[in-house]
Amino acid sequence: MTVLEVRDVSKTFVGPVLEGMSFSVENGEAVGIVGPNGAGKTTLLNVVVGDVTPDVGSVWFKQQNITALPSNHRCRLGIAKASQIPRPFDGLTVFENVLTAATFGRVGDRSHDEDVAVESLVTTDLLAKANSVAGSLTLLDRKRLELARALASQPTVLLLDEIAGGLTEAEVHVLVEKVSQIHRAGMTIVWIEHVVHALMKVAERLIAMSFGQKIADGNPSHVMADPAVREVYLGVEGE
Amino acid sequence: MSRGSRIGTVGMTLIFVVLGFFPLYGSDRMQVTLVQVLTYLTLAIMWNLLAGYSGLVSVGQQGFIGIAAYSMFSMSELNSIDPFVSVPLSAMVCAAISIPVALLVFRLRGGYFAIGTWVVAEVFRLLTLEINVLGAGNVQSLTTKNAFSGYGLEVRKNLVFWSAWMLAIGATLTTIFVLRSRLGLALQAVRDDADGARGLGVDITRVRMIIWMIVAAWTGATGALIHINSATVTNRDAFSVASWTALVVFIVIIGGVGSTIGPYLGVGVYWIITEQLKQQNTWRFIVLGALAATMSVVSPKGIAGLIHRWKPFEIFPVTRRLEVGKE
Repeated sequence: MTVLEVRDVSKTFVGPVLEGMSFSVENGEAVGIVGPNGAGKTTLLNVVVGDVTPDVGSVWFKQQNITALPSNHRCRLGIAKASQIPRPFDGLTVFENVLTAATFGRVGDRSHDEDVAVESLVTTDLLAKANSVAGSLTLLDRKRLELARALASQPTVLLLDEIAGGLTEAEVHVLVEKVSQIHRAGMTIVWIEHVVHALMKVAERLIAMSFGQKIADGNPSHVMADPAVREVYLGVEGE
Repeated sequence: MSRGSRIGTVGMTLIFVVLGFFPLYGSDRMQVTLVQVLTYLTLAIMWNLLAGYSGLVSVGQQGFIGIAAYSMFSMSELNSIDPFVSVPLSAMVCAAISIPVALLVFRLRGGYFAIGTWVVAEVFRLLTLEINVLGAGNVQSLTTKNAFSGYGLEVRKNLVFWSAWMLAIGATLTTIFVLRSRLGLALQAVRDDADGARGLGVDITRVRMIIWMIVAAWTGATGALIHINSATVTNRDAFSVASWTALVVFIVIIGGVGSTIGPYLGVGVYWIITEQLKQQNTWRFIVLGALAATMSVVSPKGIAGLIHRWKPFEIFPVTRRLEVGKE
């Protein structure tokens, strides 16, 4: 079943950022999105969660057109995002941060809020810091918290926006393990990442973007071998 | 609950109970001062809830004081409603008026929001100048013939005291109740990162509207009582940004913004300074302002922040703590 679908989305800020972008995600899939800086990846995820309204095109979740829904409704429907730059609620504790997501971002029995919050802290290895004020966390812990908050809303689709950026090799390894573990438990994942080798370990399908358009979509190794993708990547990044 | 918190809660309860009997044993002069302290405490608690916990830094709360003053005046002096009954009724008037005000000022962010609230308050002040039945800006008095008919001076004075006492207790309980509820969690999340909170499912307009109305109601009730106490309504004084917002902001900043205990500490400092600088309203203002300015540099979380650095505990525990390590 297709859970998430983006249809012909275009968005112009100063210049065009997305141009006729379409993609869909099946239930239980882990999809990676790659592309050079400015390809429109982050904007694409912002369109999916509702932080950015597309000029043209539509977003569908479980056959429902959600293009006009505000982000708090989308979260309750089952779309959650962990952002590139974690911005925890600094004045609240780690536990209160995830409790906010479990309470407001999740539909269901309110008596389970605390259990769901605790579970997300266990998954992300943050339980020991539950009562710390979020503003005092290190970068890695802030990234963990960002992930924990998204999980605590019990989403159907989890969107990850460059969550490995700025971490050391060892930290990236830990993070990749976590994401695989979450995916193996049945979570549908859409992951944007510059650290391509991290992505390759989890993604079953890869979408490559350039200048707001999709240039390849399919098996990860095929996509990375695609001449168009190689040109964009090797040309721009010189790797 | 930690030992410090328990002692704090019991101590605070005792203080309020002892205060409740004050008219039976205290001096008249002190009772007058206490009414002032208790009304400022209520205003400070409410502004702290709004700015410190919800991120809505309003400098237009004097608008609700003024509206409540005139609403109380028209109810009790012009229509024979008991003045003390007009206190909760004026609170409701303020809550109702706060809705359209919110629809306007919630479109603004940060500094623009602050200025917007001030402008709206000023618009209400100017509007009352145009209403002849409210005196068109002239000093209006509550008379023993109308508003205070049937009330002896002594009874009136004590009722004012107990009303101020109840408002302060009510404001305290409201803060604890709100902060411990789901609403409190949402408010603090919205304060720290509004877009992030929305992304996690919080309806930010709704939670802001709820707290805005609660604070407008309590501020209005306090405003009505302040003017029953003074027995006059003067346009400029009723809508005074200096008296009802600046002074309140000073108190909260000195005591500790975003701390449940902050307003009590701040109002304590206000009390001491008022006692020392009686009859010198301007100097009182300058000293409190200078203290607030210094405090915001030295300790942005006020006296409460300094205490917390020395010994971290909450007098009114509102943080949701998770007991870990027992599995």
